[in-house]
Amino acid sequence: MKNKILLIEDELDLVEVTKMRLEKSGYEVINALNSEEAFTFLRKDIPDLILLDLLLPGMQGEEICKNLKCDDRLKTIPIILFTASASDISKVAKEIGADDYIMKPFEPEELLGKVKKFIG
Amino acid sequence: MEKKKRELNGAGELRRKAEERLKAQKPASPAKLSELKTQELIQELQVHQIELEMQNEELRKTQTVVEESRAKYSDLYDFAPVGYLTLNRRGLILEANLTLCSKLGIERSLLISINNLFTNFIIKKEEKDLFYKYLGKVFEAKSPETCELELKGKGNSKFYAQLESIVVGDNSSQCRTAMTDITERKKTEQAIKDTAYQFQTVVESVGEGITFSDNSGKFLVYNLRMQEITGFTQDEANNSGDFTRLLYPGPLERQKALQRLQEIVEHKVALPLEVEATIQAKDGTKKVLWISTRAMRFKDQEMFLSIYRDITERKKVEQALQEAVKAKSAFTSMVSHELRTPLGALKESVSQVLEGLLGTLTDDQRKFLGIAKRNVDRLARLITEVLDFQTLETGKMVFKMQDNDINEVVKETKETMDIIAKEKGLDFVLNLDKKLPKTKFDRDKISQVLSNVVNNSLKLTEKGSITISTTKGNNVIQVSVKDTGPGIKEEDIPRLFQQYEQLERKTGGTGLGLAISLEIIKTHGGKIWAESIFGQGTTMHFLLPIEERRRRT
Repeated sequence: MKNKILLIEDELDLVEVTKMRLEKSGYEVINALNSEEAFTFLRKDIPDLILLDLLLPGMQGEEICKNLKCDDRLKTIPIILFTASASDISKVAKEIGADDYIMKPFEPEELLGKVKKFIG
Repeated sequence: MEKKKRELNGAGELRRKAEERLKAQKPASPAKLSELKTQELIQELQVHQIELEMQNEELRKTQTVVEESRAKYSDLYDFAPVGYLTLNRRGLILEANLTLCSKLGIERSLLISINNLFTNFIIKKEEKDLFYKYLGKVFEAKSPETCELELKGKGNSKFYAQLESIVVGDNSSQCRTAMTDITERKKTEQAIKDTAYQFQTVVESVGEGITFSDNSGKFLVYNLRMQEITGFTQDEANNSGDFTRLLYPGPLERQKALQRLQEIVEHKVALPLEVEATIQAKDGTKKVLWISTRAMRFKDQEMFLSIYRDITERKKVEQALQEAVKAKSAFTSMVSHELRTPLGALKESVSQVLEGLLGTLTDDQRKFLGIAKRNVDRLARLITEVLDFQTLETGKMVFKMQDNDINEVVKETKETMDIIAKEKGLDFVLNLDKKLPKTKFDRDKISQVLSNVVNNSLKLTEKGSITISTTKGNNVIQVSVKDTGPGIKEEDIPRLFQQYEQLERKTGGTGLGLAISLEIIKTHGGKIWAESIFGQGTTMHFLLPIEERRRRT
């Protein structure tokens, strides 16, 4: 069984390249474009890791993260924030209970390294 | 003795005259008288004579008293501390005392004899007219009248005199006048006028409204600037009953204003209370004022001295500036965010193709995709720097101050940069003081500063060496990065730390690296500067305070 990663990101180009990178490294990637899609998926399935963009249409990444972390069924899933805004991301990550963060644009090694850290 | 002799002489003279008169009255020889009768007659004559002598003595005494009294009054008249003169309707001087003569510098005989008009002593022509009018009034009014004139005095001197005249007795063709020298009083009056003029000039020429009021709210001083600011005149302010009601129509602002006054009175502090308050001017416009008020005792009363500065325009500018800073900040983070996201997709696409994940590449394809990737990275770095500087500039950057060893940071920096130095054939030397104490600083930020400085040196130095040294100074740690690059012209050194300045365009930076470094070092309470000899190389130094010192600053 491949490890399953839920990529919550609305930038389709970025979704495509990130998906490719992770799939080439042996992961299964499911994309959700917004919180609705994400929670629809999460109701029937539990991924091994979540990559979460902070800036999304509708419910923002921070909100999604907080919701996930107070849901008993989901709170153990590691969450890596995916963000383009630089200011105080480490502080934000801590506040909302995310496990790690990656700044866009990222180095391929950084992405793979951090993913591996959580799901081998 | 002298007096006595004169008296005797006087008596002898009288006797002679008496005998003559007797002869004339009784030319015939007296009738024969009996001895007894004669005796009686002689007796009576003797008594009569003594009686006469006594009467004479009495008369002489009275005369002396009268003479003494006259001398005394004459003395009193002549040497009184004020000048006395008698004038007729035309202003002719009929009589004058010595005090007046000495004031005017003229002999009495001369003053009276040559038909002197008083106007001869008046200096100004218009005052001569004034004097005639005055004289007319004196003779008409029959009550004391006064006037002030400038007169010619002794020599070429001048003095101010006050005249007080009154017509006396039934004889209404003369008036008696007292003249007092009021030069000193005039001087004092002038001095008071001068002081008042200076005060007025100062109060009216400053750019602030100034008021001085008593505790009933009456304004003793209320300058024109105050009128310009509020639109209310001093009279309007004083007649308002309560000026705060006019200035602060809103109950809240008025309440605040009254509270301020209360506070000033209660605290009785010598220091003025400074506030910013919004008033409503007479024409209805709202104005923001800086008001400084202090209480003081004046003539046993509590008084208020207030200064009002119209800062409405300044406030508007400040607000616009704040909004501009906010807008700039929002714009910068929006732009950098919007740039980063597509850059992420771009970089990842190029990386994957370049790595061969999507099929094998020719050498040329790999070379050109390499160029693309390098430039994507460079673009990403530029965006990061712009954003970094913006967060630093707005003070939003968070610093993690912890005990750190600067030598470790230096060693790490060398490790990451070693490869570039090797490629360029440069010697990379460390010269570290092993006994440096640990000191509090943000490790990532200081590492960023050091990388920045070393990176600049590596970029510009083509041969020779880069040396990083650390030393301990007086309560500071000094880090110096020395290179053997082209150096910087003296006149360019001040530009080094300015934002968006680039001395060498080809290095491909933002021109923010050193500006960011300066901000970081400044936040640490340190100092950063450059020394250079053009053509020989550059040394960049920065100081970090050792902890105990920084806590104080």
